[in-house]
Amino acid sequence: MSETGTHPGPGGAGEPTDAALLAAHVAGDPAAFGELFRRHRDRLWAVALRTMGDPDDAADGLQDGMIAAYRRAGSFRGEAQVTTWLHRVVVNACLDRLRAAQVRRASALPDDLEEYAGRGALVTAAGEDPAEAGERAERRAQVLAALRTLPEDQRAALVLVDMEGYSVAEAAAILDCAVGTVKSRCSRGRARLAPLLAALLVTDATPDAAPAGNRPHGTDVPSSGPSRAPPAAPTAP
Amino acid sequence: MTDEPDLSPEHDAAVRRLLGEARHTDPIPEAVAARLDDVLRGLAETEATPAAPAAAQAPGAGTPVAQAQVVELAVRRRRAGRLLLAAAAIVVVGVGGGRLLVDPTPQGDATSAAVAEDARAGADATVPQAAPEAGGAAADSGADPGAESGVGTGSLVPPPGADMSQLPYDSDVGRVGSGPVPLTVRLTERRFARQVARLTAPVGVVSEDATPLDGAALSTDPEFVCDAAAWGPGLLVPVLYADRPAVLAFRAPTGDTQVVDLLQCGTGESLRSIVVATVG
Repeated sequence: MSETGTHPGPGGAGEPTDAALLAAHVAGDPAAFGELFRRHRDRLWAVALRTMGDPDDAADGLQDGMIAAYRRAGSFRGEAQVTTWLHRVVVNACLDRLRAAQVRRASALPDDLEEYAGRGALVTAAGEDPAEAGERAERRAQVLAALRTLPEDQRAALVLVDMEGYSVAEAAAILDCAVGTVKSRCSRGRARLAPLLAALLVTDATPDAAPAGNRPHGTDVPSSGPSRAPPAAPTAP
Repeated sequence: MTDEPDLSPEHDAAVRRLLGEARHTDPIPEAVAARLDDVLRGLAETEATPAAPAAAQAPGAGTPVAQAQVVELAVRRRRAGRLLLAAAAIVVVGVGGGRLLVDPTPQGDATSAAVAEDARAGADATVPQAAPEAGGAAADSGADPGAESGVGTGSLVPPPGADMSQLPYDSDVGRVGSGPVPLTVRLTERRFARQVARLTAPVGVVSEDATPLDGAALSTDPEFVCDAAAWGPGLLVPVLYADRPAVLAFRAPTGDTQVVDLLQCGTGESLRSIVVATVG
């Protein structure tokens, strides 16, 4: 491959950088894009899933984005990080699908609630009280249902910032809008969510409540799930 | 501008915390990962260079297009019955020297693609159909699958008002005529998918290779000013997308579905891509 850089990957060996893989892809390396995409697909999947709201649509949106990125790699100018660009393409693909299917969305619960209710961040920790786990799953289901009621732009901003832990600046780069726009969308989105989640907020907005999901200026969301690499760094396949 | 009341810092933080807790942390499901891997394999096999659109920017570059090979994804839909078959799904199609099967069915069946799109959107009959400006004129040309004749490379479509049933028909290509076609298809960004799905009998220039064609070769309409690009094989339909000239390329169908690429004038770069049901 003709990549120009490497970085120590999670395995410690000098793995090609994202930019190098993308360049190799553009140069014709048939394996480069696959390696690049596999690095990031778990996180892209999470974003697609939360943006779309159900697994089937998320898979379609992610696939749309992957194909678009594959084909448009030559247009990547390097202004943003490759992972930001990948997220942008995938989020746009998801938003395209949402807009195309806008009418159906109404207020139906996300289809993945049952499938994922006990997974992800709510995977029951060893020794966790099943009743508590159930409450957490229920709470999560309510949050996802409420999230689905938001306009796509607000939802996408909240998914990136409050759920996935991107900084506002990173989210702005992904969404291709101003930082202030992301802040505004997040703020308005939270304000819309608040009355829908009033019952949860009564118990959550207590002085000794855990730290907020995301700090205002963009550090990662504290997560009860397994840690993830920061947005700029590739995750292990 | 905002209808929402300001949240107290405590409530704002609490909402953020709830959202953070609802974060998805599981890896991508194996089935989805496998599906994406299949797609990537298909792309690598069917698109000679991964940056094909960029390469196409160089007129005459003669970007080779891989021989016909179709990779069909696992088309899984939660909708049942025929609509399920017609629902949009993504396939990756590469065509080389192949001909395009253009929907030869009359309109009765032909609208199923649009219906499918609506069904996928869950909108069903309650969703207003795309306006006639969505290209219905081209779509409603009423092809008759009856007559047949051979068709050569670069064959084209009929002028406005032409009786499509009198035009030659090729089972591999569809209804064809000769010369550039009128500009009758207008697409909007918002309704793109539904509008394309309604183009069930598209008329355009049949391209069998990556030979660059300019706007004059595609449309008789002076409004269609489109720099040459290598569009690749397929039925090339001149369109206005968001009021700007572009080319809609109907790729070779595979089974029940057919990829339609919206291509940028001058570069051939794919702006959007959609899969519609192949009717017939």
